[in-house]
Amino acid sequence: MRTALLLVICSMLLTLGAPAAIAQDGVTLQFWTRIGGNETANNLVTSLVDEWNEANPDIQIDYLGIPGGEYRTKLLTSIAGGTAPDIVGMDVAIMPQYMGLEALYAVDDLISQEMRADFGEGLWFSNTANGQTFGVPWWSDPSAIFYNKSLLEGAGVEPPETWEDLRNVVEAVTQLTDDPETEVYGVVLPVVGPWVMFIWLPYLWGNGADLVDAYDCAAFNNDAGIEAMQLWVDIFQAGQMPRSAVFGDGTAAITSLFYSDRVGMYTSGPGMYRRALEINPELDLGTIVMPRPEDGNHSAYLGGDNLVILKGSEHPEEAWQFIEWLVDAQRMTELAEANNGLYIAGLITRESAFTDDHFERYAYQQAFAQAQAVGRAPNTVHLSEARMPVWENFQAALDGQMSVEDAMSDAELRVNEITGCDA
Amino acid sequence: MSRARRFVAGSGSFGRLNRLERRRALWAYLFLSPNLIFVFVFSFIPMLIAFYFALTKYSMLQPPEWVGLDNFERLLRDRKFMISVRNTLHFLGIITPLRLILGLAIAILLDQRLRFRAFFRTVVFLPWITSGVVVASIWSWLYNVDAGLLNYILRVLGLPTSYWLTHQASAMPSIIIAALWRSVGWVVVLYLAGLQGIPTVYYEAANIDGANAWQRFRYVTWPLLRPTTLLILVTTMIGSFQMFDLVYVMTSGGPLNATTVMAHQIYENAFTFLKMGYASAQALVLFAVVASLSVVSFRWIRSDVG
Repeated sequence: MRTALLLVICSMLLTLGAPAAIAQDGVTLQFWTRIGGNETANNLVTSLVDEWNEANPDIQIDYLGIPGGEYRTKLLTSIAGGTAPDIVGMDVAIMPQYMGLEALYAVDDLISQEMRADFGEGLWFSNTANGQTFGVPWWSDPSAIFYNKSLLEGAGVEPPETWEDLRNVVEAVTQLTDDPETEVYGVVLPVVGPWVMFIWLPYLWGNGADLVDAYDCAAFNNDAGIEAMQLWVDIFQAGQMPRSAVFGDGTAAITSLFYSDRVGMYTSGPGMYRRALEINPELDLGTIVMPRPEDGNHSAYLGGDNLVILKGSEHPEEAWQFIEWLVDAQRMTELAEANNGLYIAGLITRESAFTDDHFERYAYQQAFAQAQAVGRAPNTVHLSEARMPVWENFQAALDGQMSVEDAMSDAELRVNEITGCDA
Repeated sequence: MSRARRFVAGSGSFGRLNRLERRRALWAYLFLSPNLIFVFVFSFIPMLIAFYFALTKYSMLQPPEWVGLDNFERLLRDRKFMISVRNTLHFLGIITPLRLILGLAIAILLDQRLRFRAFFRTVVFLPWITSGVVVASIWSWLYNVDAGLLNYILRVLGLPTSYWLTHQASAMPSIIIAALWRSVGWVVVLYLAGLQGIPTVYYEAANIDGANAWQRFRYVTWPLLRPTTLLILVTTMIGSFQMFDLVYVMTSGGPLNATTVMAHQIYENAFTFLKMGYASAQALVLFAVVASLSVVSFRWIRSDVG
């Protein structure tokens, strides 16, 4: 009995002590992404990893697709617990924090000139901090506007090019009906949680302002910033935007209004096209880049994932080999072709990976490619926290509890306190 | 009191027990040990580590940096944390009596000889075993201002619609309704167990004395349900301080911080702002409040029951 117990304990200890997976005469690298909840994208990555593993027995990849909601917590706790993966598909929204806190491996020496030149400036911007490069754009999720062609045609208007056009279009679409049961709204400009950053920041950038400047001081409390906020406040207060888009009772509820022909325009990434048509195949969708101020520029928020190597990795060179293989232009093209033009969960990031007839076959992606060319991601280590005062004061201004000027002044003070700016 | 009971109650000592009792106590601890080890490793040790983190600046991406009591000093100036404390107390103050009253009323109803009683008991208990995220998603849809069922019904009835989760005044009550719906089944089960534990002889004696239904409830049921009520009270208070999932999914603490609660602030600081040190300080404040309330309540229960 005692011998049997001893054997059980010994085998348990041996099992616990053994590394999870070691490639024979090689290394096994852990690779995590946040697309575990997106079945199509996750299957694509799984098949890519299988292909790599078959061709590279000495560098095996152990892949884990984490659902988006659990991704940040799992990643952080794994780093704190010393069990972090080697390679991560990192959400560009958290890149600044990880770069600022020196958690990523600098890859400047590994990137070829040819590879660097194949990515747009906006995409590359989210990979850099203090003159160093910490990753490679993998797939991108630029924000642009989907519009309901039937609603806009019904209202006798064209998709907007400028802010003034936007005001006119949303007014015309909203006036299509006044029945509260089937009320139609001109546009959804969400001020729900982080969305305010994804969708409002391009309006701010397009008008020449920013969340913070190079010294991490608030850079939005000026005429350009006030105009950008005033535009949304005017549209909301005129009843041309649903209240749930602003004060938040779930993003799914907001999209459902768009899918059911009750919203003229909706801002999102390219992945929404397929989802929208799956839910409502009758939906007649067009896409445009976000409108620009009369004397300003188009802009966009570039979401998506960068491929990075975490600093704790013991095999950065091998990890880089896998990253280089993943972002190969030919592979990007083939994968997008096999997935109705979508690459992983968004858009192709390498310019040379777009085929000549890509936009003929996937016309809706034209606006997103344009957005990719003019957009960028915010690059401040304080982004997560600094957005909060802006979000709260934005809501207060929309609800009429604060003037836009007061909202901006107060947010400026609070953002500067967070970033430690002593300007 | 038996020796074994004295030992467990802490008034005896291991040395004074005879060999057989010692052996039994050892077996008892052996059987308890998996749970004790679990609590020690996953609750006690993290709690001790949180004490240390609370005195540091810690992003989880870099080693902790000692800052002494700075995090606690900052807590006193943190307007948002103060709002979260106020909101937590608001939530606690309203949901506690509602949960007790509604839970008891439903339990009394389901304790009667009804047709399909087992079915109704199951239905009432179902929300409690449903994931908080699922409950939050369902209620978010119900509350939706433009496409939600509740406003649709109000419109059909010709009544004014509500802003529900999208207005500062109605957001917290809306969350409380969802939380109440989710948790009342658990209170019902406890009260049902309490009701079924009351010997029928007391009711028979009350009937002989000519007590009416209200008097039977007032002088028999209610006093004998007191231990159950106190247990529900304590657990409701602790649960209310830990309220997180519904707020996180339904409102993210908005609109304008109207629904942000302490646990939500702790999560946000730890995992969104990467301020684990500061979040640990907030968690310790929450721990101190919950621990104090628990000690007071359990003493109250012990004195009341004992």
